[in-house]
Amino acid sequence: MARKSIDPVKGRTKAQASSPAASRIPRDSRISVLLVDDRAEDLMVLEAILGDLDVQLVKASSGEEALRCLLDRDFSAILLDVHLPGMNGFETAEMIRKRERSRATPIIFLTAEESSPGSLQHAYAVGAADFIMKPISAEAIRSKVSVFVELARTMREVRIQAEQLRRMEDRQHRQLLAQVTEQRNRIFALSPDLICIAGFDGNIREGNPPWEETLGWTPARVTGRPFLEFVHPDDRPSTGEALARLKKEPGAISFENRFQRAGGDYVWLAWTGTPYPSERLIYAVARDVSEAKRAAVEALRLNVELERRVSERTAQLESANKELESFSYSVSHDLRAPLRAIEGFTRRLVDRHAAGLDAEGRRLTEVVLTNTRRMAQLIDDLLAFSRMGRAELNRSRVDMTTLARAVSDELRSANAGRKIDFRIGDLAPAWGDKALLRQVLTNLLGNAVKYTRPRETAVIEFSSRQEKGETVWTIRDNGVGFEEAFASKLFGVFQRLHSSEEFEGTGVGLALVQRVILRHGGRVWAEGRMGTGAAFHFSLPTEGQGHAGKPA
Amino acid sequence: MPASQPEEILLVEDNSCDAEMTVWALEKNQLSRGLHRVKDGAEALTFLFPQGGSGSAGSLKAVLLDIKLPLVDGIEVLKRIKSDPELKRVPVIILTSSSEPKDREVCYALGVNSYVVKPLEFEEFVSTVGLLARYWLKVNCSCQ
Repeated sequence: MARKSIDPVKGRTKAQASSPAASRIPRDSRISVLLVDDRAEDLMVLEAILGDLDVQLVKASSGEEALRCLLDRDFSAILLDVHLPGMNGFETAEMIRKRERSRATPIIFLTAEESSPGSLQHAYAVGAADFIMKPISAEAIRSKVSVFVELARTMREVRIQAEQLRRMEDRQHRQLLAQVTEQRNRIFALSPDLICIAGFDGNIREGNPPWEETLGWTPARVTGRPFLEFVHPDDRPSTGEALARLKKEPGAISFENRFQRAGGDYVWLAWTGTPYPSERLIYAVARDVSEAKRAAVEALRLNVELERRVSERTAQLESANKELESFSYSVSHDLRAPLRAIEGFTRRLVDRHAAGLDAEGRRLTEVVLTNTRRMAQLIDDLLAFSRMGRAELNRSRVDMTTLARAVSDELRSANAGRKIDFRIGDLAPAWGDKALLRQVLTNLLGNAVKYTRPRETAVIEFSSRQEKGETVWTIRDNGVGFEEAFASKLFGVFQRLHSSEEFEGTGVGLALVQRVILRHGGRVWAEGRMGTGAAFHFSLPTEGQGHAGKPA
Repeated sequence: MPASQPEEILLVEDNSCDAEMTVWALEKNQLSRGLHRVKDGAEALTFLFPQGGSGSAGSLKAVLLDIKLPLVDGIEVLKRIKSDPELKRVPVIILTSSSEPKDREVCYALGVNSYVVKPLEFEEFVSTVGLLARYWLKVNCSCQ
């Protein structure tokens, strides 16, 4: 039955059946049984009884000899005569039990004596598996011994099967390992990236084919050489640091360095290294980033160039601004001084030498004085305009309704003889410089008052509306209006659409309005028709949308 | 201007028309007799520092100083006056065409006593200069 049980295994494949590993336990090595008796005839009887059990029978005539036999080999069972010369059966059994190898070997005692309860007890105490009385019954002996023999045989078969199974698993494992290794090698070879396996000693163990494609090094030429040897001297400290960290800490680390090619030049490589401390290996993957590096360097160069040009331009603007400043300073000083002299000396002429002047002379001096005053006003306006462009914007939330009421009150009292109907609605608040916005309202409402002079009742409406991202304010009057075609000319410095005899003014007011609004990031425009009034609109970005005002 | 008259007002003014009008304004207030006029900052320093090193106030009661002057400008003259232990007690009135806030700030930082923008209107000019002269020479008690 035991033999049969291995057959399916044996017959599974030809390769397995004939494999040397499977036959290491000799199939023909038979089960051994040790027979110990001092009487040769008894030994012969036992041999005869057990001869057909297909076991090897080993005979010993004393306890000592039996122990010697046990040194050489293992037995599946021992038949031990109790009465032996020298060391008796029990003593021999004790010795057998003491030895590790034979501790579990079943011992069957043979004795001719009437079995005394004492000797039986003794026999079991020293580990007897069984007890057989002489004269021995051939049937009893055979059946008892064959139990042990079968047991041993079964155990041996199990061992063989287990061994075979282990070998099979080994083979499968090796196959799997070979497959995995093959796959790993395939990836290693096919990877477009450089792969480097280095030891903790810093030497390269292996490189993949891209080493040759990217760097010109055959993997064989780099194997065994220190990794740092290939790194650009300037990048060695940082690379050395990265390698040291890899040896100390788990986890991948990225680093970059210039790596020498076979031709002696360098390429920029971006590495990702991962340590395997148990194997004392570092696996590192690299990609050629020279192109990206070059692009970065170029981008940096372009940035620097751009910055240089911006600062150059800024310097130019600053110097232009300075020039403008010194120009307006000169204007203020240099133009005023002669004007004051013309005015002062003419006045002196009128005061002290009036007697020497006839009526026409006096009229002419009056013309001189009128024009002097006009020029003084021009200079003042121009200076205010120039100053406005340079002043810092001091933004806050401005209540336009209150501001408009204050300005209109001022205008009303300055034009006390006139009937002016200001219609100021609930205006949206503005986000801007209050002083400058007051100037804007003064100029726009002032213009409305001025150009409605021919009307019996001036009607000036001020309203606002919210649009996307900006607020638009509108001042509409019922004045003389203007030719629509010239609307764009209105906001130029010294641009006038009416003669100064008709309507006084220097032509700076609207230019100033435009400058202030533009500086706030807003827009200003006008519409009108000759004879039917004008409308001026200006917009400002809603609070929070505010782009920084540009110097106009 | 007779030499015997002690110099009470120093006028530093390069524009002769402005200078003449200033004289008219002082005459109108009977204050022109002690006036000494120089045409630039260098002449002003020579007058104020005759020995070079330290200044001498003498009988000086006020300096009317323009800012924009040839050679040495009014700011520099003001700085020299106000850093001299004796001269710094003499009131300095800036009389200029410049209404630039920056000029005003600089002058007051240096310790100017008054900063006045020359009025363009003749009448106003005469009354302003007269007012200034009367105030600093007659009304105000200087630290003499």
